[in-house]
Amino acid sequence: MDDSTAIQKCRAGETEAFSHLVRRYQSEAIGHALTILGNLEDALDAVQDAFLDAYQAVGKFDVSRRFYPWLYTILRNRCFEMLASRRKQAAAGAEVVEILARTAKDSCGVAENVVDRALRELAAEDRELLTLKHLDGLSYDELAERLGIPAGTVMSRLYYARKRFREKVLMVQETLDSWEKNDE
Amino acid sequence: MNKEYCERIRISAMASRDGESPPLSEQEVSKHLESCADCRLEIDQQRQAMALLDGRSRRVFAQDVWPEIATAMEATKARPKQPASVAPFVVLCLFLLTHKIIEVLPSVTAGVMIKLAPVAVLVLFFSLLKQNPFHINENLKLQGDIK
Repeated sequence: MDDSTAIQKCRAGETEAFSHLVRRYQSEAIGHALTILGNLEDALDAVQDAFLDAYQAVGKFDVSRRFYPWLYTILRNRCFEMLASRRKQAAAGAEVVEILARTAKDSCGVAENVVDRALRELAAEDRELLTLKHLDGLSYDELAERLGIPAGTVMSRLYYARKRFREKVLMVQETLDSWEKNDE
Repeated sequence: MNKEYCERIRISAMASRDGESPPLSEQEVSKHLESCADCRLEIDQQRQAMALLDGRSRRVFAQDVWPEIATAMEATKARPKQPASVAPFVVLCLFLLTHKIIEVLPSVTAGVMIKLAPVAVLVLFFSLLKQNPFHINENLKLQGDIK
């Protein structure tokens, strides 16, 4: 069943059709929510809430558009709301989960865990932007659509996010090196 | 060198590397880079940092959230609907208003019974409507959250 058929059926009241959309996009959505929120438990909650919001608003969805970018907008609103309330409630003690998939590759002599940790050290907005660009391969126009900002803003935000990422990589690397020295 | 101009050069170099249209032409960028060592260094460092993310992919999650979503959808359906008519509430308002007027009349001596009458009527009213006045309607909250 393709997305537009599933959406038409949802509008006709067939809730089972919505399961096709959930199962098609849940993995992607969890990955995106995790990138913003930093822990799996909150990411799963945000994804569930976003799908429920999407189901309730499915009547307003423009079927000429793709489903996932629309869902992503709902999801990121949920994630940033959750992040804001978490900041108010002080730091959450949830388990930290890696964002990147494990590969055999060791990029330019920098260990995989350093890259993942540097990403997690960034602000949620920077992390979201960098991963959408590098892991999902979105163009500037697609980033602008997803984030609801002009393409020119994407360009400058991406530049500064990359700069901060580079600083975080150096910082994490230095921290790990100093721990290793202390262990010796 | 002008700091702002250097940043525009660096942003343009980054956009070209990403295969996007840069704000400044490639010739302008190349010309500037010939004479600006700071920009050359910055662009090179950024290239190295980006190489750390190139070719990476997201971790894949196998969790199935559909059972929880289906349960929540069923619960939403099973929830009693809002009363379609406002008539019972108008009647209630009229009663409370009349009661207040009677209560403040100097000729009426307000006893305990007359003070408790509104509470009794309210309990009876919501019992008949099968509504909990203290229940938070999450549906309204969810709809309001979607921009």
